Amino acid sequence: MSVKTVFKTITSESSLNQSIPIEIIATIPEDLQASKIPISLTLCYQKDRNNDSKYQIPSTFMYYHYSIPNRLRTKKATDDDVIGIPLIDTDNDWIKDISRKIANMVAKKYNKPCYVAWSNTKLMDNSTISMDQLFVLRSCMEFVQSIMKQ
Amino acid sequence: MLYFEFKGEFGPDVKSLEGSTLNISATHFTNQILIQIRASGEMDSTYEVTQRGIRPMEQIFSRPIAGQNGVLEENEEEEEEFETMRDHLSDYNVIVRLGDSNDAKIPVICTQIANLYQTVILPQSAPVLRGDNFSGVNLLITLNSKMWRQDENDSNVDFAKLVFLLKSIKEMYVK
Repeated sequence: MSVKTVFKTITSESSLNQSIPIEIIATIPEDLQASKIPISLTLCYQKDRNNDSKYQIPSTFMYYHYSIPNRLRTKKATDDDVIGIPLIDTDNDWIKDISRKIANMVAKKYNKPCYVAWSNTKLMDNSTISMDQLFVLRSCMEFVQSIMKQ
Repeated sequence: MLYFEFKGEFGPDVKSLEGSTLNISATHFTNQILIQIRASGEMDSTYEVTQRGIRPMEQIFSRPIAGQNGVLEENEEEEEEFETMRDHLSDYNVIVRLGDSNDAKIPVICTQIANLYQTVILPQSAPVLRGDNFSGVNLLITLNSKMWRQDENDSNVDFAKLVFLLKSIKEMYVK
């Protein structure tokens, strides 16, 4: 039972003047059927990135979320598909929200536990975030999907 | 993000896990180090390890700043007689973030990892790996708790596992 790790940096194409790259380190199981092996995503929101040296930019750890498919679920529509818990919490709602959503979606889609760690290159408040949540979520899901197919 | 990874395989001294893979990854942040330890790919428990209290004086002065290297030779023997044993492992505070809080084994493993970082890895590594607060380690360890449950009655096997784990973590930084 082995795992593999993939790196990627995503950049928004729609708003070039304000594009902030997000670096992702993803660890996924090689055997896609292994439902006990978690997917882990470590994200780095690189605001004020000033050099191009890859994966060497110090960042501050903000939030860590764990989501797991609910295996005790009955078929009632009210039951949750995924249960999750913040392992390290933050007071920044934007980060909390996006990380939780990514973890829940990955856990639900691939039926595996998922860890999401979020970090920033610079401490930020809600007003400094210029990136669209949907874009981040979509890019993350596309990235995970692309590596899960290989 | 500063990222390190290691991939190894358990040897014959750990019978219950022989041949299964050990994947370790460490991501260094400015305020924390995230360590993910996967045995057979799995991991299920999360622990946070912080430094407890003020750092002991001897740790701060373990390397003299300049000049004289500690005490003079003739006094050394005397010094040895009065040397007190320190329990370094009680310097760390382990918080169970997710997992069995009644498990007494894993906090010991976590403090051993923290002590390895505090005494060997961080002092020898580049300043950027230490983050902002080198006054003490701040680790977030996610590991596979099942790995430690298999040989409940054989502490030798547990010790072999721990030694292998610590060796692997150290090796991760050598490359």
